[in-house]
Amino acid sequence: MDTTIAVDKSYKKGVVRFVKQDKLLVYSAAVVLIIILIALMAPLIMPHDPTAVSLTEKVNPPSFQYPCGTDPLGRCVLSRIIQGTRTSLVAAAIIVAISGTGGVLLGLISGYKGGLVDSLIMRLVDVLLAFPSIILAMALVVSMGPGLGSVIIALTLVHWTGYARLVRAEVLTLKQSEFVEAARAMGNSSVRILFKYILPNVIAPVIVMASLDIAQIVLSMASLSFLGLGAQPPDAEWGAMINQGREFIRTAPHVTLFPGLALMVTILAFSLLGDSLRDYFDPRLREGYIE
Amino acid sequence: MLIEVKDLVKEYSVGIFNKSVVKAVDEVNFCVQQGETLGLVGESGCGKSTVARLLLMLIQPTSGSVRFEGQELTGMSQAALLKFRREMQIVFQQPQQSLHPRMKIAESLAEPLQLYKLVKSKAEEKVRVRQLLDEVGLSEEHLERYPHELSGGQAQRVAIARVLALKPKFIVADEPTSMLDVSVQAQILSLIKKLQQEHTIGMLFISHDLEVVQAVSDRVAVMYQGKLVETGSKQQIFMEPRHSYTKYLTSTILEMPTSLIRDDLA
Amino acid sequence: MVTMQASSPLLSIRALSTYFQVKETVVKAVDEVSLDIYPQEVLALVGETGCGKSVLALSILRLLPKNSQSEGSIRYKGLEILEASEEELRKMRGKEIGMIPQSQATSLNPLLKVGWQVMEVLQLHKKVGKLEAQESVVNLFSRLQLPDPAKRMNYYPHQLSGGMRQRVLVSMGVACKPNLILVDEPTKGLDAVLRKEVVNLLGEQAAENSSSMMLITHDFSVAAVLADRIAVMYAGEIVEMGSSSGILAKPRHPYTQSLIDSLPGRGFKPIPGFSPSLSLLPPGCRFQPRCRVACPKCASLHPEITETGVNHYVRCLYADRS
Repeated sequence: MDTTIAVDKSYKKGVVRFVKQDKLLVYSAAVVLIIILIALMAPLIMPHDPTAVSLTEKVNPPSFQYPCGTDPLGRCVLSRIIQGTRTSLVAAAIIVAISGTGGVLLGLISGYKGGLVDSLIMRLVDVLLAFPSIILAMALVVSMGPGLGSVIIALTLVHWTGYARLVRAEVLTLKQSEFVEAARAMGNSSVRILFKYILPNVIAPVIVMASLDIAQIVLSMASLSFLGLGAQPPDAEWGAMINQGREFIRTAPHVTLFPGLALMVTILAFSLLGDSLRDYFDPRLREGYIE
Repeated sequence: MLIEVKDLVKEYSVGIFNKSVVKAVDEVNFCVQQGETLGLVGESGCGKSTVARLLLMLIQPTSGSVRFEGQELTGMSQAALLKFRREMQIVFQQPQQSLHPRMKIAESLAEPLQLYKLVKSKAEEKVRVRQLLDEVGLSEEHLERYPHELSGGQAQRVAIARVLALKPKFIVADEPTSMLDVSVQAQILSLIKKLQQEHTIGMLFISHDLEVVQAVSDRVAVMYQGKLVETGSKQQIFMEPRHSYTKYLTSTILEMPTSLIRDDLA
Repeated sequence: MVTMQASSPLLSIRALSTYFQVKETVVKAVDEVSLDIYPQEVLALVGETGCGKSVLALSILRLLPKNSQSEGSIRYKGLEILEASEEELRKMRGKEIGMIPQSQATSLNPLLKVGWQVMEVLQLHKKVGKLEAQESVVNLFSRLQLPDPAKRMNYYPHQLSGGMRQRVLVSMGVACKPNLILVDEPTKGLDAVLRKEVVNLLGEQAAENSSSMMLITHDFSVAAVLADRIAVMYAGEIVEMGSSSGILAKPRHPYTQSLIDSLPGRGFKPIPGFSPSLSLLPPGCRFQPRCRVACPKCASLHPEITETGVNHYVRCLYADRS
């Protein structure tokens, strides 16, 4: 029988193919990339000095000169948003890097060693998780004195628990798997098994969690700054900006609206990226054929 | 004596509120001599895989003794055990899952050589890996693949090659073919038998399948609910089983209707 | 092909090919398979992992994923399955053609009571009340010799042993008394004790019900015990088909011979080499690189399947040599 089955040309290899199927991943990744670029190039693209006060131009509506208007001190809102992007992302990156690494290491040790070490680490996690994280962070910041540094330390102390729990659970399953048992029987040391056999297999969920975590950290930081605990004037920070515009919300909504929008877009982009990465890393959703 | 097991017990406590103790392995005694195959047969859940892990000290026994060439292994520290790991190896049931999913076959095969510094240079390592591949009937095209790109039989060959790289004196084969097709099973078992004879390796062969055990073992031990109920030479176990459980097991062999036996065999 | 028995076939497959698109290539997992299943007969489809036998079964139920395509013809009682509507298919699955899936360990929903899961199958296809369905399930369970059937209904899958779960799966497959039951690898991964139990169970089912059965297996000894006819599949094609007694007593195709010889009780002789990948088939006869009697002609000519005896078909250039 003569059979001609056309190959679907749009069907590409690996990543490219998946990207075609999952538009959400592409869009969210693109937005995240733009946000990162803005943060990196902040000084180059700001139309004005974000800290330049101009008493003659207080609370101006958006205009050609000030695309997002000016704030109660006459500073350019757009420039301050751009500066705020840098503040938020750099702080979030530091927090995720430290709490992620620490959490992963503690999770690895806890899951692999078990016993007393495991109990100690996990009870500490339980205690930290028993408080609402934002309240706990607030308490820590207050005890250390307000400021961006305190916020970074406080959020780092609060956020490692998620990674530790996630990694520990993964390790507990992987520890039982035959390839880890085989590696042990082969004579690999515990350290080698942890880093060569177990770590590469828990990295994917950790990346997903990190992406979702950045969204949450940006929000927490904004909340703390809104309450006056975070970035101190004249540093630009979204939460602090929203707070400053609070009084003028009826007469000059742009002062709160634009930083609010920036916050929303950033959080949404990182959350959606996390979600689509989760799908991407799930091989069951990636391969479309059966045995 | 290569392996000597005495009064081996492994208990697990189960339940949260009413803790009770389950004996997964209950006073098991056996020995394996150099180059000999002891078949360990029993149904799923009888504790035979626990015995495998106890022998290699992957889990600690509750009590009893395991001796390798006269050396007591129980109670030894992990560091001290490393010396013996090279000489006692295991082949697992699920071939694809016993290989690191993100390591290429070439890396998986090179790992034991690097761990024990069995090769002096990269070039020598390459030669040795090729040699191992050849011994288990695989070719160079398989080197760059990942475990999930191999068939079950091919993955099991890789697992065997990896064990062979260490030139062990004793191997535990824990149901090495129960997840494979019957036709592939014959391939893997004849490979194991061939390599065992070439390298004079003592083996504990664990299986639920009496016919398979019969084909590869010199002596057979029958396990039921954690206990060895009968041990004897192959002929003894298959021709004149004494324990009722052994008799029951022999009755589970699927016999083809006699009318269907091939002319030339009948 | 010639009609085999006086009655007309229940399921008739003609030149069925099923393709998969994997990345940029198209793979033919089932290659022009033709076979019939007659009322009340057990046909075993024997082959190694990856030969396309499970794909064939799923093609019959049209349960393949989206990146696949079937062509040819599958006629069930006059209905062309490949052209049937979703609604027609829904009515057919379970009620006319039932399926007993491969793994007793994963094929049941762990969160639902087993009795409920079987009742659901009944209620999908028949207008029965809850009480009536309950009664039928108890009947089914007791017919399948599940001890204490009324009590077992309220068990969750993890509370049952492997053998009992297998019985529950069988009861789901036969609940609506389908005319044809597809059984996919019923013994894969089971220990010898359980395998014997499952084989006995299926044998009883085949004898008791008036339904036909298509048994998919890699294990010739299971096929030998249960089947009336055997079809041997290799690399997507049927290479030999005939009565069980005919095939076991006198296998014609070298692959069938090797497969039988590789059984533990029949010499345990391994077949050299590996099954070919479906995307990289050897030239000529597909078994030729592993065949012990291959000659140069085999590497250039792809043999057609031919009738070599009464209702015995073989795909080999030297089928009449023996």
